[in-house]
Amino acid sequence: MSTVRFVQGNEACALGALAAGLDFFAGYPITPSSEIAERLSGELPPRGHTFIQMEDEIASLCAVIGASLTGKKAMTATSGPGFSLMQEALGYAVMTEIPLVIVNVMRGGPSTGLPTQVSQGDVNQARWGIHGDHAIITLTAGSHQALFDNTVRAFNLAETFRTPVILLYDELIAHMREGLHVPEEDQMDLVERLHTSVPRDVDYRPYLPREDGRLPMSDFGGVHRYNVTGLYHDMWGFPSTKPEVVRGLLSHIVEKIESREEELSFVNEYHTEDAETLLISYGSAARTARQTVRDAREKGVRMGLLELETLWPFPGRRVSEALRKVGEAVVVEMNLGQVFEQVRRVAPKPERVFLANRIDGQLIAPSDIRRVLRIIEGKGVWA
Amino acid sequence: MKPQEYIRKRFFPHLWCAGCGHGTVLNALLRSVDELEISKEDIVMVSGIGCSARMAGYADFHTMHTLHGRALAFATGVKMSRPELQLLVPMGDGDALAIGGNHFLHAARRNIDMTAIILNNRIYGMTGGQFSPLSGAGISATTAPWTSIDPAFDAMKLAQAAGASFAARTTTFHVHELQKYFTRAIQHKGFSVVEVFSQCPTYFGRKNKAGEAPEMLQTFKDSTAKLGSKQLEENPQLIPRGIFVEQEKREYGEAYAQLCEQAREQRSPKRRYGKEAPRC
Amino acid sequence: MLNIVFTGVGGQGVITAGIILAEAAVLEEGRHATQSQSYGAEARGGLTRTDVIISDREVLYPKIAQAHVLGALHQRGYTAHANIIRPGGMFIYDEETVKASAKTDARRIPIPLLIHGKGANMALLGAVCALTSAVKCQSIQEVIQRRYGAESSNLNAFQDGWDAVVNRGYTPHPAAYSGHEGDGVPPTPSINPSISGTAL
Repeated sequence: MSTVRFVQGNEACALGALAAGLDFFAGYPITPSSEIAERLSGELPPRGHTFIQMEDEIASLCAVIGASLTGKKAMTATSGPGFSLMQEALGYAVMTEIPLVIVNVMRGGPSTGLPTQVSQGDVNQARWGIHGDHAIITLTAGSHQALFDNTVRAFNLAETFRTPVILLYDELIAHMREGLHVPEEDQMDLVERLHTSVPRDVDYRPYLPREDGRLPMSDFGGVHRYNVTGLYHDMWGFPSTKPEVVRGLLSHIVEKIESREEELSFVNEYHTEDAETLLISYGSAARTARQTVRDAREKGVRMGLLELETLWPFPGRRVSEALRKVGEAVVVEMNLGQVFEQVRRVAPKPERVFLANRIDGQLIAPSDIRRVLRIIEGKGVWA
Repeated sequence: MKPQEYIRKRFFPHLWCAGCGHGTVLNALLRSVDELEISKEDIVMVSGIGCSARMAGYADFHTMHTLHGRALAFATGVKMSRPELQLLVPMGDGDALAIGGNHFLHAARRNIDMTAIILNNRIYGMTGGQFSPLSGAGISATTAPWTSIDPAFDAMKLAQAAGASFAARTTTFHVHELQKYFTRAIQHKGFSVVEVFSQCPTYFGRKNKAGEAPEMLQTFKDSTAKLGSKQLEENPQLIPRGIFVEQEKREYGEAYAQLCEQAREQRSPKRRYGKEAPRC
Repeated sequence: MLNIVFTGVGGQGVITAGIILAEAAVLEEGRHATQSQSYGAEARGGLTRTDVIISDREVLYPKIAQAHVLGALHQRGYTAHANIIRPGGMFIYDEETVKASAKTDARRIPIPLLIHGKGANMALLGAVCALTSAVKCQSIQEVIQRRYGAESSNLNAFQDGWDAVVNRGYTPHPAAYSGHEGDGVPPTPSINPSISGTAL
């Protein structure tokens, strides 16, 4: 059994977080993400969980990190300007390996940009916004069902890999309403905090990975007192500048994610079996792309869609494999080609990868994609 | 227990300079914790960045060495998740009131139960002696070679105006007073602030010809007077020490717990958001 | 597939009307529907538009380029979006305050809407319900009741909108407007909502 609801994307995200076991939310109002905070401010207090509106986005993410260290499932939600403010604390969470979820509902940027309009301009910021080498997991969604599922998945991955996970989706998904099937609690697979089995008074090393790479945690307030720092640190969490400690920690932080690209590649394929032309898209742009494929198939045109639900680590192997089977590919997105560049990087024939995009705050339309396809086919477009 | 039983020997030697006042502050704080018989496991120390922030590593509690200025925001997340834990938040003057000024104001406004300790040496020590918002005009610093024109904050006025329900000031010269204020602050339910004048002979002292540690401590003694004392009344140019505010006021975590209770009672269990799915 | 656009200015409830319509399709009738909107920074007074697509298949691209039905509660909304009506489409608007251009190739259905004050959006829904078989009246009534309660004046406004269309002899458009794929047959007029009763 499941319950059908008719909700905004932001509500789907909030419901997903609750289903994942959210204990703690801290945030600051910002369009177009505020409905997440609004919904959770009603849902968390009666459950005895924490909702707190902080003084800014910086404080919001800091509070989330503090909460996570006590063993709570914690998240924040924001949009471009707030996500920019969060970068320092995000770097801290990466360095100190804190499980948490950051939702960034993309709006037009840079700066204040287009607060109420659609854009996908933060893809690279999610990957490269913080200083220093690192790796990060970023998921996205093009429907409310996928958004709900990927919110749950974001929490699961955060706990599995002891890392912050970014959930990146756009204003259209955030504010649009459509149906959502919410599964019963017992139908969901949830990953809970992995706690250390080291007993009291035995040396607990918070940054010593197990053989499977996971790092068991001990909650603040529990029997193990340890140090957490954004400095390079040894397995006890004590600052260290020893070259081997520095190299070891950085490679651990990067490899725990980058080496699992395939496991983390969440990709949907539509009509790719015999496609001659492949569209590659994500988020609300993938809805337009899928519409274009549906229309094309009705006319007998062999077109397919590869919809990415993982943006980082970039699912390069999956994309590369799909490209091998087609003549040309068109990346459909609402920015100046942030995923397009990644696709070209992994493409066997980069010159056969094209970009259909919009950067004017409007949802890309099927006609926009068809125009690019006409140019590729040498048919030209009518002015 | 002895104070040294509250420190992590693994972390020593510490990085503070000879003559630095921060060790005195840590000493008084640990004696206060011991006096109150709080278990180490019940204390979370959250610090930001700077010389003072290293205190978190040295103390054998649950410790977080976080970001410059943000310690109170991290501490808020911990406290709201585990209200039974005791939060100690040591901060430098720049850490607390320049980059962290906004967090300081809002933590005070909420009156969330934690103890903020401002180790005020009127200088950025770790980065090499730049002036801070507590330096005040006329101070020499590495970014004020012609002396600073910036007026200083009064941390006590700021704390009170923002809503802190306990605020006290003393110096590293007045060590017994310091321990007493820490004890009172930790016992206090609500946001408590203890500002401690702490000497930085390396930068503040050298740049301002204030002498070495003994001379600086002497200055703390000579330039301050107890609130309500005849000495202060007769010498209003002296800097007041003492407890500036100590009042009962609704604490944020308790208010939140009440809100949860109220929300639970008011929420109708039959509220519907959707319909049973016809399939699946 | 049925494409419906409602337009007006902020505060008139056109977005709410869109939500109720789409919610009725999804929750009450198990169909697919999306509701999206565009608006400015103003909470009140700015131009608003909501797009509702109802279909038997999953709705993908949620924006409407050609509307079967345009409902307007304000002249500004009409002026901004008149060109979105597809040829032969339907234009429902307030008879007092909105002047439809003769150039618009659409059936014009002027009825009293704004006399219902805050219920104007509900009257618009009633009219849409009477003129299309997109969603059953009972389904919309169910949603209105769930939102506002069984005693809500919104139910009366909805009924009045329905009555206005029927009493003036406007009939459902021959070109279906059910939103069912390949459905070209004229729909049976909706059951009078007052007959369906309120014992839902």
